[in-house]
Amino acid sequence: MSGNAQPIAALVIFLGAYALIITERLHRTVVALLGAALVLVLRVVSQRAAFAFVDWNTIFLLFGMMVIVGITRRTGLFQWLAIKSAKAARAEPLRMIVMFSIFTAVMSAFLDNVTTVLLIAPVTLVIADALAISPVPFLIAEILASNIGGTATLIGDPPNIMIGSASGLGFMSFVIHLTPVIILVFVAYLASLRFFFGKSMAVSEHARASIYAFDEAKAITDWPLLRKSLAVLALTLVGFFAHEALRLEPATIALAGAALLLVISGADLEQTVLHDIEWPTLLFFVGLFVLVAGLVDTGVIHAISRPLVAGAERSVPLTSIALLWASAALSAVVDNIPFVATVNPMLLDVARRFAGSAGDVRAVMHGPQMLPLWWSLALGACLGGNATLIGASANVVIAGVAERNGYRIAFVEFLKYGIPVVIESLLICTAYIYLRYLR
Amino acid sequence: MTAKDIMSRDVRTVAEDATVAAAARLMHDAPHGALPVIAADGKVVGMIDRVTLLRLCLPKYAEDIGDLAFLPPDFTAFEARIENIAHVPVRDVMRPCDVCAAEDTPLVELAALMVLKRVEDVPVLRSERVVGIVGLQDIVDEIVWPHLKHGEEK
Repeated sequence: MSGNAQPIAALVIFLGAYALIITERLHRTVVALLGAALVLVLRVVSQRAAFAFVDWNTIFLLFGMMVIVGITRRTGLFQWLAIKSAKAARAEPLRMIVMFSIFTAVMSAFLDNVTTVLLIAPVTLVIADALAISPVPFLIAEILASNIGGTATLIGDPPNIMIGSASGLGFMSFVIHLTPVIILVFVAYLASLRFFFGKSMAVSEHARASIYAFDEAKAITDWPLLRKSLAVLALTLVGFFAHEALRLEPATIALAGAALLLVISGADLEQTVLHDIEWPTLLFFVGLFVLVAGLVDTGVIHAISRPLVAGAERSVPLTSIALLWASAALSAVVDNIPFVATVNPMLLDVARRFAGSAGDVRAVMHGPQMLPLWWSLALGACLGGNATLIGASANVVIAGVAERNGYRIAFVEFLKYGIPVVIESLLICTAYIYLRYLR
Repeated sequence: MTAKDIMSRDVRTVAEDATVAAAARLMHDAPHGALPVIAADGKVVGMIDRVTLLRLCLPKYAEDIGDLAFLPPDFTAFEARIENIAHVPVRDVMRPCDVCAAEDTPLVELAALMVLKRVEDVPVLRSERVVGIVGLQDIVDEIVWPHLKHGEEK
């Protein structure tokens, strides 16, 4: 392929893949792999360069956590926690929505959002059935809580993982910079719950008593495995907090934790491989990175990032806030993962511009000019997903679970909760970014 | 030996627009636990078995949770579902007839099918019409047990 045709080919293939993913005619993994194959076959980018571009840190971090969570899940731990939460809330509907939201948000900060909501949804449905009320308010609250909670840490949401890789910002950086604002956003969100669902949910004393009759101790099916899983989870978490001091990357921590748990638990590898590791997700990422490699290598990203670079040079504050709101708006309607995959290289261009021709990009990357841009992207891309039922994978998955169980969450109905929550979240983020970084 | 040698020719079937309640009643008295579902023209369009009935009684999420040991012994929230499924037409809940045999299908293949696909009753078809049914119990009674018994006596 001639030099001129390559950028066009890269762009056309990427946009075509994106369109196919949006229309959902083919599974997104199939689309990503097809696009990647085209990029390579047409030599838009060499295989060597493409594979070097693939962010294996993201992929192995996801992989490691999938293994750890998958094995832990078999112990029934999450059912136990959910039932305990329901009882702590005295089986009162509004209190339970708050407890489940907190539970979901905290878990989402450390586990993948989709996994978290899939773990809590079935128990939510049992409890709703036992109380003879609709589970829909609970499910909506859990969706919103998972996206907020997932934004708090490096490992909570794939966009954050990808941003961490691209920027070199570590787990502690996310804790220091994002966790505080997410706590504020979450508190505001909890206050909204009272406003959204405060009235109407009345439950009889008899129904509430049935929840007390649930025996959560019986939810645990394997106590030895539970002890081992919790030990590895704790160790892995400590590893994440300490990874920069240990000079190890996040994926290494996750991989080490996964390997350790596989060994000490004696878990059936075939079970793990078939049921716990989401191969379609991992392969989707591989395909996606190859597609973006095409855009980067052929200079398409460099061309597109010119406005962003110019804007950042002129005014970091304005560009940050604009990036925050634009990321959120786009994340609300399109998958935030391809979006962040494309914006990351653009921000690298910005960093290179700030560093100047002879400057050290690494010094600038975590400096006062770049930090607000990275955090704006992270906050916007993750929180924006709450606006619509299709804004994030967790939303889509829960809508599917609800539908399969006979409850339809209408797109328009979700907007009534999602949009206010996103606007309120973004206002808090705007104030935070301005006050902390831009004054 | 082939399917024709061991199959039971007295096959209970159910019409595709019959209700689940009717199917349950037929299954109650039938020697085999699965009923071929027949369309108006007499062709087989699906199967309905006892597992399907049970699955209908449980909410979908129960399958997702897996272990329901934490539920109290007097948990009755699911029982309301059972009454609701009585009027559902069989056509809406049947599974496709993907495990079936012909009269000349070797018994070995039938046995392998039952194990691999985890079905207990395989309908025997000729020109898309049911002519017999072979159950797991039939194969055990006619083939497995006589050989085992012979081995025991030696």
